[in-house]
Amino acid sequence: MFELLIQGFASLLDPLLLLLLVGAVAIGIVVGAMPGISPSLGVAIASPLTFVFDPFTGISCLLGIYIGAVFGGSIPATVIGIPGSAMAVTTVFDGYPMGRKGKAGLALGISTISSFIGGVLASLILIVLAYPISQFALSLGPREYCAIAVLALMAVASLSGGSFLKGAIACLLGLFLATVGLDEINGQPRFTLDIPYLMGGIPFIAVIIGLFAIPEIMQRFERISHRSQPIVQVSKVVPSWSLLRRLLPAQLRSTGIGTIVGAVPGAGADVASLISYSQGRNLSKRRERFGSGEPEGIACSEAANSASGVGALIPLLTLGLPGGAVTAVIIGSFMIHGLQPGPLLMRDHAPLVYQFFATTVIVNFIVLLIGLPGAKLFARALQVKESILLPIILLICIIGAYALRNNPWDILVMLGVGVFGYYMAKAGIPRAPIVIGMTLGPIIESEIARGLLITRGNYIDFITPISAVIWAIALLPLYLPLLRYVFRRIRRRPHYRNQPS
Amino acid sequence: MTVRKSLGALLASSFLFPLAALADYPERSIELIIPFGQGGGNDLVGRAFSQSLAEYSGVDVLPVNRTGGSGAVGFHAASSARPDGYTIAMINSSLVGNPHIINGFPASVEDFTPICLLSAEPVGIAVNASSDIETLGDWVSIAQEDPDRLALGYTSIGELIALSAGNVTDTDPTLIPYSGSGDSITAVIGGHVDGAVVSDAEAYSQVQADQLRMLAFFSEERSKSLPDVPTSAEAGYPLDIGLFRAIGAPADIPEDVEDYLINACTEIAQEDEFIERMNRIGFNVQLRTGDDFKEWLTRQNEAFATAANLLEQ
Repeated sequence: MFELLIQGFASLLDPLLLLLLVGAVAIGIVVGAMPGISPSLGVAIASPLTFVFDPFTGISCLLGIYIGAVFGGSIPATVIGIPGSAMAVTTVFDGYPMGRKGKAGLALGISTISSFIGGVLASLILIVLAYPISQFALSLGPREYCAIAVLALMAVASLSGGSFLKGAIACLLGLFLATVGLDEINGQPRFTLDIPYLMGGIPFIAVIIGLFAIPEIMQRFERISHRSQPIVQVSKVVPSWSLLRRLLPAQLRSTGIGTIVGAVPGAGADVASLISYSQGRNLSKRRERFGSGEPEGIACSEAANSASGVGALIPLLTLGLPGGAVTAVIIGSFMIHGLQPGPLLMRDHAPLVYQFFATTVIVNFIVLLIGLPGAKLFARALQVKESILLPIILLICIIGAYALRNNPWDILVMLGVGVFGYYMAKAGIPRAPIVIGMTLGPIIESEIARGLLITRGNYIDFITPISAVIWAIALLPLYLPLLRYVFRRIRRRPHYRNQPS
Repeated sequence: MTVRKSLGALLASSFLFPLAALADYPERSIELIIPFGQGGGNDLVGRAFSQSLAEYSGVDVLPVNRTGGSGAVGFHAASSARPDGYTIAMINSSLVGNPHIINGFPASVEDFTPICLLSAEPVGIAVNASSDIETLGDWVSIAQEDPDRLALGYTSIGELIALSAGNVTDTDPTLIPYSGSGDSITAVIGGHVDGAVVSDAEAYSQVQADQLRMLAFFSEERSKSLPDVPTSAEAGYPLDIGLFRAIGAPADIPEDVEDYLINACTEIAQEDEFIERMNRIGFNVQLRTGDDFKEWLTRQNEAFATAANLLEQ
C-alpha cells in the first residue's frame, strides 16, 4: 500500500500534469465562487472536456475542479455576504461581519487555511481509513440519517443571531417551502396549485441567492448616493501564529465531523458545515462572539465542508457508491472513461486508485497556493466602486439562479424572494434558518418515512444504538440545563446533611 | 405599385418561409431537453446522443437539464415547446409510468412524437450477495410465508414494476421508496432493505464485484450485460416491464422533420462510436423507430396502466 502511494505521488510529479491541476483548481474556485453554479454543475460541464485525456489525468482534473469548487464558495460568502451554496451559509455568518470590519483579507486567509487543513487531513484519513469508514457509513441507514439531519437542524439556534423565536419562525418557513412540489415518499403533488412549474418544487438555489444577495444589494444601493465611498483597506491575509493555534482544535474537530458526515450517503457538505458550526459554537469559550465575526466560526464551517467534500469520495472510491450529487456525476465520468467504479476498482486498478488518493492531497495544496495570494485579490473587489460592483453582482446572481435548472421562472423566484428577504433583513429576522429548513426538511421527512417503513411502523425500533447517541447529542441543549440543575442538587445534598437540623 | 409588389412579396415569403425553413432543417442549433439531473442514466445517454446528433447534422445540439418533479418540469417544457424540431427531448419510462401514479402529471406519451428507442433495460430484483436468497423462487417462498419480512426498495416508477412483480408472484413485500437507484443499491449493500428493484445497467458493477446478486429480470429476453441472470418467465412468473431511454419531439412536428430525426437516429444507432459510448456507460443500444416504436410504447403503457390499477386496489 505504501509503495503504491509513493508511486501515486510520483506520477503526479509531471510538470504538465501539475499545471493542468492548477488550472482545474482555478476553474473550480471560479465555479464555486459563482453563486448558483454548484460543484456538481461545474464538474458535469467540465466532464466531457476531460475525455481527451487518459482516465487518470481526466478524473484528476475533475477532482481538482470539485475540490476547488467546494473551497470557492467561501469567497463570495466572506467578501460580499452571499453563500454560493448551502454549505457556505455558515461561513457568511462570521466571514461577512469580519469583512465589514475591514478584515476581509484575514477572513479569507482563515477560510483558506481551514479549508486546506480540512481537505488535507480528510485526504489522509481517506488514504488510511477509507475502508473502515466506508463500512461504518454503509451500516448507517434512514434512522441514523434522520438523527444526523436533526443534529444539523440544531444549528438554527446558532444561526438565529439573538432571537431564537425569530429564527425558529424563519426555519419553519423554510421547512414549509421545502414541502412544495412532489413529496419524496408517495410522489404526490403538494401545494402545487396544478402549476407544472411548482411540481419541481421551490428552487432552493434561487431562494438562497434571493435571500442573501438581493437584500444586500438593495441595502447598499440605499447608501450609495451621497458621500464618496471610503477606501477599504485590505488587511493582512495570513493569520498570526497565536490565532492559528487557537483555531486548531476547532479545525481538527470540524475535519472529523466533516469527513464522517461526507462519507455518509444520506448527508452532504451542507449538513456537515451546519453540524460543525453549531457544535463549534456550543463548545467554544467565545460562543457569544459567534455570528459577529469570530474566526473560529469560519474555521468550523470551512474545515468541515472541505473535509466533507473529500469524505464523499470515500464511498465512491472504495465501494463505487455515490455519497452525494457531485460524486454521482463523477461516477458517470468514471464510466465514460471506461472505468467501472465499485469494489473491483481497487482490485483491478489499485495503482490508479492510489493516484487519485495522491491527487486529493496535492489538489488541497494547490488550493492553499492559489487561495492565500488570491485572498488579497478577492478582497480588493470591495475597493471597486459600488455603482459598478453591484450591477455585476446582480448579473452574476441572475445567471446563477437560472443555471441550475435552466428555467427562467427561477430568476423571478429569486427576485421575489429577494424583496421579501430585504424586508426580513429590515425587520431583523434571520435569513439563514430558512435555508436550514429548506435543506434539512426533505431529508428529515423522507428518512423518518423510510425508517418507519423499514420498522413496519414500529416507533421503538426507530431508535438504533448509533442513532440514540446522535439524538442524545442533538437534544443536549434541551436537557443540559436540567442535568446541571440535578448535578448541583446532588453535590449540595451532603453539604446540607452536615448541617445540624 | 412597387410598394404593393414588395408588400405582396413579403406576404408571400411569410407563407413560404416556414416551408423553406423545413426543407433546410436543421439550420440552427437543436436543444435536447433532459428532464433529469446530471450524472444519471438519462443524462449520460442524452449527452452521448447529442454529441452524435451534432456530428450527423452539422449543427450544435445542446443538452439542457430541466429538472424537477420526477421529470414533470422537463417533460412539460418539451411537450409545450414549438413543434419545429429545434426542441427535442429524452423521453423514458417515467413519462409512461408517472401519469398513472402522480395526480396532475403535466405530460404523457400522447404529448410527444416518439422518434426512436435507444435502449431498453431489463429490470429485476437485486439482493445482497451474502443473502440466503439465491433465486426468485426463494424470494417468493419467503415473502409468501411471512408477508412482513421482506423490504423491497425502489425508485420512482420502480414502484409500478415492484407492484407488477408482486402481482404475478402473489407476494406483497413492504415497499420502501428511494430517491435514486444509487441510494437503493447502497441500502441493499448496507443491509437496510432486503432487495431493490434495479435495472441491469444500474446493478452491473456491483454484481461484477460480488456485492449484489440479481435474482431475475422481468423481461422477455435475458439481459445482454448480465446473461447469467434468468428471466422471471424462466422461474415461472412471466412479466415484461422495464425501463427505457428514447428520443421524442413535441406532438405536432412536421412530417419531414420527423423523418429527418428518425433517419438520424437510425444512422447513429448503427455507428460503432455511439454503440461503444453507450456500452461504456452501461447501456446496450436497442433501436426501434416509427410505427414499431409507437406500438412498443403502447404495450409499455398498458403494462404500467395495469400495474397502476393494482396500486388503487
